[in-house]
Amino acid sequence: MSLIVKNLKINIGEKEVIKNASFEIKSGQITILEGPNGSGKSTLAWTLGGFPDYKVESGSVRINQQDLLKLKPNQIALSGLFLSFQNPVALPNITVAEFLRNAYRQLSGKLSSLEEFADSLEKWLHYLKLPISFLDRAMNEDFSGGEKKKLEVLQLLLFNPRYAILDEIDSGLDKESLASIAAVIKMLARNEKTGFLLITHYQKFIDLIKPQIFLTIKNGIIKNSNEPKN
Amino acid sequence: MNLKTSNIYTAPKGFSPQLIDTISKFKNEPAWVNDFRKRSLEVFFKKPLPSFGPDLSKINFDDLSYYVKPSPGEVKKWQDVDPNIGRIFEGLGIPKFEQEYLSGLKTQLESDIIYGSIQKELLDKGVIFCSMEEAVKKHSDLVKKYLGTVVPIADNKFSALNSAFFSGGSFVYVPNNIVVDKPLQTYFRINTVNTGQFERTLIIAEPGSKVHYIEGCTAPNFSSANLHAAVVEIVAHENSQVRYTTIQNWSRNVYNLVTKRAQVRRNASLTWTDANIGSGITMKYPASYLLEEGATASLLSLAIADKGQQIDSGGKMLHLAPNTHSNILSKSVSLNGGRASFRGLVNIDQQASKSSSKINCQALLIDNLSQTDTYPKLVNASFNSSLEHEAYVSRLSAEQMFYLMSRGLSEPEASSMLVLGFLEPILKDIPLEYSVELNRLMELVMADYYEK
Repeated sequence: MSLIVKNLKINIGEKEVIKNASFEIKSGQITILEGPNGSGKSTLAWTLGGFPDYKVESGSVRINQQDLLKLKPNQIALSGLFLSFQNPVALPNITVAEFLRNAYRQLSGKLSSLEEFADSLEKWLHYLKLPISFLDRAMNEDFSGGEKKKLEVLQLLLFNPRYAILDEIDSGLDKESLASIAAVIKMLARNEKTGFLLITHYQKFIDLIKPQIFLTIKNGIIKNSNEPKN
Repeated sequence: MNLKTSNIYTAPKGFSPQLIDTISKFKNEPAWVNDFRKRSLEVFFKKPLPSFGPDLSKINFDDLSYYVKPSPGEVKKWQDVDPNIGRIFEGLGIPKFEQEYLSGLKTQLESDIIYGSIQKELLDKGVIFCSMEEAVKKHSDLVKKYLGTVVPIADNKFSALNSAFFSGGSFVYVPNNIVVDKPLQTYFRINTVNTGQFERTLIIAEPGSKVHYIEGCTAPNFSSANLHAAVVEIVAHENSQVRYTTIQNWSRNVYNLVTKRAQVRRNASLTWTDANIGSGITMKYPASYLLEEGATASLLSLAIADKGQQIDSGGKMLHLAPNTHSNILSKSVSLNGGRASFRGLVNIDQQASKSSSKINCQALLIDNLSQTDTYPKLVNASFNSSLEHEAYVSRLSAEQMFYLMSRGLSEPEASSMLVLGFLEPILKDIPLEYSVELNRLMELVMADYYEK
């Protein structure tokens, strides 16, 4: 099982940002995407998540036989792809608890399991060293960089998607948090067979992850580089 | 059902010299009320339409009926109700009997038992809460002392019209140091006789007392009369605390032209919460006259302007004494070509030293068809007082929508969550049962928006 990207070409306005991207995100495997700032990594991630303002010129993105490019962001999420944002946007006056409850209801499709939800929520908050009072805060408002990233990881754990694209999930974290987030990713890949695409250029994080596949992006073209750099 | 049409009296359209006498006779009211009405009608004829705001030239005063005697047995057919409104009722999950009432199918509800028990509690405390009809008869001296003293007959054309033909509305009197814990609510929830075309409400809070009055309901309230000109007068005496909450959701055929004003005395506080969701055109600017030292007032104003709606609302704060403080927070949402305008007047008088006023005005535009305007009129004549004004317009952010949708929420779900987040600072001050309904209403509005 994999998420297959084929000959993808993406424009923002008139500008060609991604000229050619072909790769796979395989179930249970961790793929790294590296590249300099401004090379189009986040554009690629947002496009795969269905951001309507980015224009796909050609190519396809499929899970099984389903073409994700025809779907709205919520439908993409429902077909099993989770996108973690590099800079998650603040949602004023919307509490973390309210947001998570709504998102969980959509993504789990289970209305009756609020108790189960509360249990796993408590467990993962504890694991990420977030206090219960975190749930009463407004989404990403006045969050530290680390708190923003932990909230993304918390969602990853709660929603348990089939595929996850994590855009610089490693930034703004202290050493200990970085290690526990790396452990979460490896655990999900191993136990839940989640397929990961990690966008990063942080060697320490890559060392913790010990990924299987490397992709690099340069001048809008994505290449497979099996040689991990050291 | 036993229909007795003879119980219903609808005045012929337009004005006639005998009309006021007819009304007074039907209501069996004291002579001074009849006189008050007649003086008001003369003022009405002399007054021009407002020189600002929405176009009111389409109101044909000769084509309106100025008095309808409600009949509890009056029944119309369900099919006569706007199908759009019926559908919204279903969506809101409003009980059938309330739906019928709100649609104008029934003019009264059988909630007298609840009403009765609350009345007893109030009676024990010496609180008066009754219809204006009853008040002018039973508490004539009190009403006479205050009626028209807060909103003068000649304040504007529609206050004069209301003063001439007022019918319905409430009278509230809270004695010294009495705290009314439960909000006093009108319309279908408790009081059954208060809807009307020209409602008149008078609230007197004696020194040290506390009261919260709520009018309205969140479900669309169908009205066959297309002009509503209500007047609300509040006197908040020394050290009293008065809250007045309105949730207005008239059907779209209605011109809602309302004058609301409060006198706020020494160290008293007044809070207006004014939510306007319905009507075709609304003009309403609740005013607080801070007359004595230490008086404070705040206004929370919420407007939702959908297709074909013009909500022209805001408020006035008049600082006429030292150490008076006021605060206005206005939030509006415009969509489908609706127009929400904020009109704010703050005047800090020369003798209002060490006073302050803050105005914060926020508008959310859902699409490019819709419109929002701000008309602030701010004067600070006191050298050691402060007056701050902030205003901004925002749009539904594509990034916020994307974030929510990437977590499985559909467009209507994501947008109503954002809109409700935007409105939250006002919604949190609205009693829970109403804010829950407002939440559901907003979800329906956004679902409709994305359906077209």
